[in-house]
Amino acid sequence: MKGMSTKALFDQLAEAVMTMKPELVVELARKVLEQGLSPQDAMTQGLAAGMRRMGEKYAAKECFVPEVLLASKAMYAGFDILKEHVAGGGHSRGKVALGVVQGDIHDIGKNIVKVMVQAAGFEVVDLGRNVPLPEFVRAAENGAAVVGISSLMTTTMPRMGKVVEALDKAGLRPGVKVIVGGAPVTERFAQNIGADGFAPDAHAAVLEIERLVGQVSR
Amino acid sequence: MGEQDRSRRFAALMRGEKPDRPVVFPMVVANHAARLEGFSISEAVTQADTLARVLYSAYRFYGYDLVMVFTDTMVEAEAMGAQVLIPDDDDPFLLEPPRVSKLEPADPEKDGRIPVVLEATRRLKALLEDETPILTSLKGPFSLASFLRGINGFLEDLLTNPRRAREFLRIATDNQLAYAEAIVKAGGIPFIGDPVASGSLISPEMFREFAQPYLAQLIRSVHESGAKAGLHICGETKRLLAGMAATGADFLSVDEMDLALARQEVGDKTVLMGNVSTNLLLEGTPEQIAAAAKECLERGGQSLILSSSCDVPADAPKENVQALVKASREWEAT
Repeated sequence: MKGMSTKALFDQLAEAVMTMKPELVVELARKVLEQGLSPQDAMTQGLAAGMRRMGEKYAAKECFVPEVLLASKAMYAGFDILKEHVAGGGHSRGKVALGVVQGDIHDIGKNIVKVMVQAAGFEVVDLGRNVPLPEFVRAAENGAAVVGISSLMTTTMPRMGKVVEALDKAGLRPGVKVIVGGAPVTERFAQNIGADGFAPDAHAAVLEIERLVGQVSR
Repeated sequence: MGEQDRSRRFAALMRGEKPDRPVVFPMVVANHAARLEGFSISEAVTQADTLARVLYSAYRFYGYDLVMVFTDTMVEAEAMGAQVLIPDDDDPFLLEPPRVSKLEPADPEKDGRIPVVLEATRRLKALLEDETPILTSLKGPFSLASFLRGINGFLEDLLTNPRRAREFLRIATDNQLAYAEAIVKAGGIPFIGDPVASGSLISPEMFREFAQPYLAQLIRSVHESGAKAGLHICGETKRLLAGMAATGADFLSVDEMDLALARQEVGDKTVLMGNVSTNLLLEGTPEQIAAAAKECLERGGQSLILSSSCDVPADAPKENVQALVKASREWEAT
């Protein structure tokens, strides 16, 4: 019956993330450790699964940004407890650098993408908002397989193209894939500036990053 | 029969009558107007004379039916103590919310760049007199509260600490009541932008509880001073439209959505404003703009201000903006 209770515990973790209860997440995460269950599995099948469901609900407009922000806080509360107990830090599916272009401080979208990408098992390097161009290049030099750039303002959108150019000039592509997003960004814009991928929302961003990581051969 | 002048055309629309041709106003604001006239954006958003000058020149150049005084979304938060960065040639943005022990409403004649916006409004009023209505932009209490608290923290407060959210909304509303009054005195029509109270970020229920009542209070006070008020919300607005209409705003500007659906939501009488895609204005061709404008006119009904979905991008080609203005001239409604 151990399998059953393990699954039940992971489901409770997912549920606690979705109902935005950080204290309950912490309590359940401790229980995972006490019972000697795999912290890695608890992260992916519990915490991340809950966050993934939140992402789907957000995409379907069944919940909104306040709920996603609080669910991600709950998820991180669990991550903080479990991650120290993962042997070798767990296996990352690859490194993804995310940042909002210089001149733009709208980072809500980027933060949601970050949570979802982490939940999917990638290591995320968060460059923050208002990020100067060279920092994107540095992140690529430091082993990011995918660089994700977002802009929420039409005035700063052209800077995404400049990042792509800079990565080209530095000779880092095609070893590094570029994905772009943000409210005013369209697929056509992404193609025009030479980005490898585009996603209209956080859920799609994860799928697109999975696709792009599969293409990277380093 | 001669053409109606712009103020009469707008007044007719506000009374629910049919103007001689559709009122047209692509939302050209400081950044686009500055580029058009060879000024940097920072000059236009910090100097009243430059702001008035570029907005006036852009209006003369394009020949649209309204003028909008708008620099950036951070004017009020900055006047209340937020740290705002003003790049040389780009839109100002928020670095840090105010770090003060007690937030106070700004003095609209003294603090930050509010005087720049008011003085530019006065100068345009002096230049245009009653020829053309002037919309002067201010933020909705919800968005201002979010800039004062920090956007993420404010959005979380809606669920975890609504009392604190309401405290920020109260102070933001107090600030905007005084600002709106000053705008009306300067000769402007308050045009309220509430980008954070967007259906892309919050639920219709949250809008009803935390955005709508404060907007309604602000608009009531503008009406008491004898002026009209407009309301613009960015992003997803379909499920917010009923709430937007319930604020009492005299015209509702919507971001990218089917205007026929918007019309269904609000009924025949409400004046809608919109909504040729700003992306299309940036990347499309004049032919595409003309087609999109025609679709807005067909689907939006008679009570429509033909406009862009949001601010016209700084770098949108002028041919595209011209195509939007031209579409209203050539429109023959059946």
